[in-house]
Amino acid sequence: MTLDNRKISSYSFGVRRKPGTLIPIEQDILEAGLALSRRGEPSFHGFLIAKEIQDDAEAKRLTSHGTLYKALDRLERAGHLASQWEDPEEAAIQQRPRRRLYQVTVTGAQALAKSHVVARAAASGRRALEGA
Amino acid sequence: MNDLLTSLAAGVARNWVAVYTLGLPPSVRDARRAELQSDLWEQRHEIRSGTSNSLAKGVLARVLGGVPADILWAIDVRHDQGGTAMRAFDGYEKTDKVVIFGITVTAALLASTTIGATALVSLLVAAVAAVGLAGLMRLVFPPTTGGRAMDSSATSSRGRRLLTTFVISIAVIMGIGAYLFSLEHWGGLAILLNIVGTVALLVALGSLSLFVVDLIRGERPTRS
Repeated sequence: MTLDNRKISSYSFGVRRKPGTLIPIEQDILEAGLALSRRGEPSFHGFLIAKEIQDDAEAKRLTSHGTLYKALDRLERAGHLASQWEDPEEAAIQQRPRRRLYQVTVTGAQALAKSHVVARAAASGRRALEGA
Repeated sequence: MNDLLTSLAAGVARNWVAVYTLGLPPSVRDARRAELQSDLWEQRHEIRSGTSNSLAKGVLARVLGGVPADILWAIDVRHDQGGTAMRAFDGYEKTDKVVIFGITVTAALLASTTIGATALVSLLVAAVAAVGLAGLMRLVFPPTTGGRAMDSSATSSRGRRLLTTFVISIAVIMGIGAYLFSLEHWGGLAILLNIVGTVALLVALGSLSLFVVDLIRGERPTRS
């Protein structure tokens, strides 16, 4: 899983996608979120998910702020993520700014599963064409 | 020194988010700023962050790489709020918009070329500078109802012209001075002077455009 400019919607002005489909950065976020959930971290903040994506892709750099938070905002508006601000007291105890914590919703998990199915179908279609 | 670089990089990130969230609904604006503040804190305190120097570079790279997405996001939010991307210019006449956009983009392109940036970076700088300068113009020279600032009174018109002339004079002097000093290989200071000169030149060109618009309007026969 690598992240290049073509995966960033902001750099792909000509790209128009069907409603309900996911672009790669959104898939990365949902996959990373679910992976964190499986490891016992049901919610995540922006920087944590950026780190998770970076580690998973073995990328040199973290996802840029604009790309990351725009995608998080889009996913939340689509119902694939839910978010809430953490308790101010907890942040105060740890002497840091409050975190906005996101969770992958059931809809988000379903959308990701659907995108995987579509991707597999497309891959098998390509293989069939190449073999023909 | 390295801590200073990190603080500067974080400052750039905070200032940038403050700029592109200007004019957004308070809840959206405050949420994005707080989220970015949290992200910066987390990155700074991340155990595996390496040296402060690399941290500063990392923060700057994340800011610069996300500029297009930030701008598009802000436009989307404004659009969703019932406005349009061009709402900030609704009070201007069509010719004003063309003049402001044209001059700021050209000026930004020229300025970024003097810094020695690549073509892509120049375009990014141009776009950001155009949006930023147009917003600045809106704050400094708010258009009156109907876009007829010249009609309000002869006194305010005269004051505006004087102010514009003053800004042009100071900005041009600063810009040229900064450019001349930068030729002497003053290291970091030369870069700073270049940036100051660039900003001054942008302001000068923007002010000049409004000044010219005022002059043109002042000659219209329909003016009272």
